[in-house]
Amino acid sequence: MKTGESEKPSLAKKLSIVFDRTRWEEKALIKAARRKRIQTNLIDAKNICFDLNARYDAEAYGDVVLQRCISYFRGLHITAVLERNGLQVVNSFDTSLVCGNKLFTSLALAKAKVPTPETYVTFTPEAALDVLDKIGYPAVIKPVIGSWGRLVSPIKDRATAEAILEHREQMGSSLLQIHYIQEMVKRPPRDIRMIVMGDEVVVAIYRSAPADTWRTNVALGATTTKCPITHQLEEIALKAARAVGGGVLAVDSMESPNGPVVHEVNSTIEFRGAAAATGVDIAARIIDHLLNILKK
Amino acid sequence: MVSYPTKFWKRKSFKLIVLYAFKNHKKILQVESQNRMKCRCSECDSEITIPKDAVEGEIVTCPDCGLEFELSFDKDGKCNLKIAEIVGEDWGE
Repeated sequence: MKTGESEKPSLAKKLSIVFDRTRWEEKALIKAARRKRIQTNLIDAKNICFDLNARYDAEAYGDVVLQRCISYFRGLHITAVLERNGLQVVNSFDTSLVCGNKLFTSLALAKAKVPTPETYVTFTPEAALDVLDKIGYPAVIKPVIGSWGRLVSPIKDRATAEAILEHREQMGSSLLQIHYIQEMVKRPPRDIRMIVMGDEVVVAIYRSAPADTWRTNVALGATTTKCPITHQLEEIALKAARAVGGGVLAVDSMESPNGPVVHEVNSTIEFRGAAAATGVDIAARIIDHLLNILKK
Repeated sequence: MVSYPTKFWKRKSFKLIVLYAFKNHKKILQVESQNRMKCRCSECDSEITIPKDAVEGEIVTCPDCGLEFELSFDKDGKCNLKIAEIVGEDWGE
């Protein structure tokens, strides 16, 4: 079916979208579902109260639930309750758990032999400094949980490393006491995002960092352009998606001198930039993917 | 056989519509502005116009003080504004 083409009326099917903030993506998904005449139930996660001894069925939550919470932990816990009640959630609890944590993602990718940047994890600033001295500068330090490039920092020398590690200690978050350290990949000032749905790479885009910056997050002003889906990229994206459990995913990779390396797989994907760069109605494709799941 | 002017602006019906719009433009604009909901900012009391196509959960920003609100509608369709949550460390994709 062509992108954006409406299907036959399917009023019997019911879809729920669990959200906690209505971004451009949620509005696009709601519009796409309405265009396809899918009965769509919008559930604001902030108003949910689950009775853990009660049963929640498809009557209340639909035949398939699309998890769109902007808060990772909120979404993950809601998915846990819904799946325990036998409901189908996209993405699944397992996929969301792995994708929401960079360390778990790296472990899954390494197990599946997906090329990734050289990555180390330490649990004290001293051990972090030791490993940084060993791998050399520059390097990158990232929070294991977080998005939009938040607190992702380049470490150019030992003095910077000491300062960043001290800040992390003082910030009080337990998550920031896990030091996820990566080599600084020698890449052009861009990365490649591939949107995967099931066994298909739907689109690929370059995300180019704005002038004088190095992070390539669209949330930080990166520009997007269409990227050709080569056989190598497709293979890597599908392998990475399968490694984390599959679903509707955004696989982020960098062009290293030795070929593409995957550094992240996102579970609650933002696709405004990809839709603008490629002209593909990604929201409609997500709804189609959900309908295909229902048919199985 | 009756012949009609080929250009639409020469037709009588079009001229009547233009005349009606010209005479009643104030009334038309008033109805249009009534269709758009308005709320007040809890911080600076400025008027916030809610876009016509706004949906539940959408963020609206006060044009004067910049405070962000999350939009919701009550049973009567009246809009309510609640100060939006600030970005959490687990927010994102």
